[in-house]
Amino acid sequence: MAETKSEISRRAFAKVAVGAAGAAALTMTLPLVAEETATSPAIRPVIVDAAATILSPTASTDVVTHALEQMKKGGVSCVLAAVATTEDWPATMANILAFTPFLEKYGLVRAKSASEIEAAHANGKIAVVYHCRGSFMLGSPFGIRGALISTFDVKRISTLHELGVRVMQVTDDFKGYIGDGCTERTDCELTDYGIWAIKTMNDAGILVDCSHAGYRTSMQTIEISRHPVIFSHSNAKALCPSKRNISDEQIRAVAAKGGVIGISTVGHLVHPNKPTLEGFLDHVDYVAKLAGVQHVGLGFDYSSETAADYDRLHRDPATYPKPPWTYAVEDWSRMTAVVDGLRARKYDEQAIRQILGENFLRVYRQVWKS
Amino acid sequence: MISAKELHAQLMVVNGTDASPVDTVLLERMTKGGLTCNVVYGGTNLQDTEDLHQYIRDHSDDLVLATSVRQIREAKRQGKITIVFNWQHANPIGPDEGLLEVYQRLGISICGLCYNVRNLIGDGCCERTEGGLSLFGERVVRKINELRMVLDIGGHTSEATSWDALQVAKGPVVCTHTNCRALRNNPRCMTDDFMRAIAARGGVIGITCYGYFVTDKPTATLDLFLDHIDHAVRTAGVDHVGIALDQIVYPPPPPGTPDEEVQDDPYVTPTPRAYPKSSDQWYTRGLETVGETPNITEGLMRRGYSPTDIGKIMGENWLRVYEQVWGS
Repeated sequence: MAETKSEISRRAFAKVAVGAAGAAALTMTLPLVAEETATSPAIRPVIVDAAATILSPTASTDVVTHALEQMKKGGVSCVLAAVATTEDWPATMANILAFTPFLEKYGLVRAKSASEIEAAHANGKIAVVYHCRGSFMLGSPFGIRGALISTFDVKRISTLHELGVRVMQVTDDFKGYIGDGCTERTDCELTDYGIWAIKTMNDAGILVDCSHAGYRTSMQTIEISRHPVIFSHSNAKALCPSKRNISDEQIRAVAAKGGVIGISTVGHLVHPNKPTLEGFLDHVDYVAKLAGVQHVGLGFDYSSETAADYDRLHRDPATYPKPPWTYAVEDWSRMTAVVDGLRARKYDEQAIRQILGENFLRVYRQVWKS
Repeated sequence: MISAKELHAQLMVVNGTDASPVDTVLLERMTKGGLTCNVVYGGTNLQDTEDLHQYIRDHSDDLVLATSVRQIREAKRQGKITIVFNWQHANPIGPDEGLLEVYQRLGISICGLCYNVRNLIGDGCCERTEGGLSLFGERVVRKINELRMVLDIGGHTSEATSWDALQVAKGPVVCTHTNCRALRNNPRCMTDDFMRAIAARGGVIGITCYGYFVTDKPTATLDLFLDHIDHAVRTAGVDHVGIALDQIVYPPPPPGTPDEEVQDDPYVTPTPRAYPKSSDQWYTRGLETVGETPNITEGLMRRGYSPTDIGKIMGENWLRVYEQVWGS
């Protein structure tokens, strides 16, 4: 888009201001959205939300339009959208195919690399990364006589990658062919097949996500993965004792591997009775102090789960209240409150940018190799 | 003094499981073997199910599909062989236990849980972990009970998962096909403890003649197979043992034929190998197919089993459990 002379000179001024005064100039404002401050994308932070199921081709136009307005107000650059959770392979394929016209309809950009996220940000667009919120669609390595039957389709992981999937949860809440979920009756390690699947995801360049996984499955996944692993949307168990949240040991393990933990705004993951913005920031604080500020990010996880979904997914009632759910950060437009809150907790601008998106971008670039 | 051949002809001979394809070759072997009833793999999708039903219809002079013991006894009187459908695992239902009822209506009346590896229900016996039953697995076991299908545990399903299933299940349970861990240390073989647990529930354990589960020696013999029957009878009791030849393909491929199913697959971290590399070890000499079933009757007679006890082992035990679970 054509810039006016005044816009160019304002931008130049801002750059000079940064250069001259360094951090001091930036502490005056952290401009999030282009419209509000006419600031160049180079100064606006890249904001990555590592979990959102609300953006979906099956959602109504109203819901999506409203969500995108909130994202624009909040300056969100990139969101991980769920292309499948517990669906089988054919349903997953149908979902992924449905995303193409969906993205086009709303002017969203599919991102398959960190550079594509940055390019979308520079162009004032919102990038969407395809996220599998489970691994059931990979199918079962049906074992005949101790060997994998030759008809098992080993190419599904690379096919998903070709179709744009870049992040994959190893499990949903329950037992799968790869490992156990966090509300399962058992806490099993990975299967032989699961070990192969993690290595194959590494080879394909799909980022492995341990949110929803059980303790042993997640710890072993972190251990055997060649690349950093993430928890796209999990909070600190020490602050909120949900089965969906993660222990200090899990936080340290994923950080030691160079991974990132996305903090969720979902009420029942923030606080057992009263989720607030401060409660959300407590989780960010906790993980940053325990593991280092370079290992925490945002995984808000806005969803439009219904009572029917809840029943169909056999949600553990001890872990999930009935929907609709409350969120500690009501919606994306409240991003400035998050930033102000972090500033009040003495995070400097660089740290805030890391938390808002640079940490996830770093891991994406490393694992996706671009 | 009755001869083995005469006794065998009088008996209700029930093969507790058979993975053979249902075709003319199998029909010939079942006839030669004097089988009353053969429990074969039911379809795991609609097309396979249709094909099986069609085959039985096309051979209705010789075969009948059974879901009750009354039908099995009636077919014997008519000189026909009954086919019973089982599933050795519940993978075909995916995450939906409601499908069990649908497939029951299509003829499946015996249902297992896991097959060697982990599925949504629990761990198989060759899995690297000894994990128990999942919450979904609990629902599956309860559904199998509710539908009055026979529950098949142990064998391909790990003992950890099977012990859990035993707690959740009501009534008698079976292990359709396994061997004795005390005689052959292989994950597919069942421990004495678990045999006793099944027996305590009034169930039945089917003994296979899959060579590699009978012995680690290069050649499995009828005598080694009969040793497994002996051990199971001593451990679980003569009311709780049956036969389950579980044959697949005979004759084996020529020596030197690469067997793609038995190759070490590159996809999986090697676990202790439960299965042989050589197809020679698929078989017991003297029990290569269900056509050789009369050799078991003869062998048991030689070992001093009474005709009544032979009758139990060769099929009456299976029929008792089926009737208890399915109803009359």
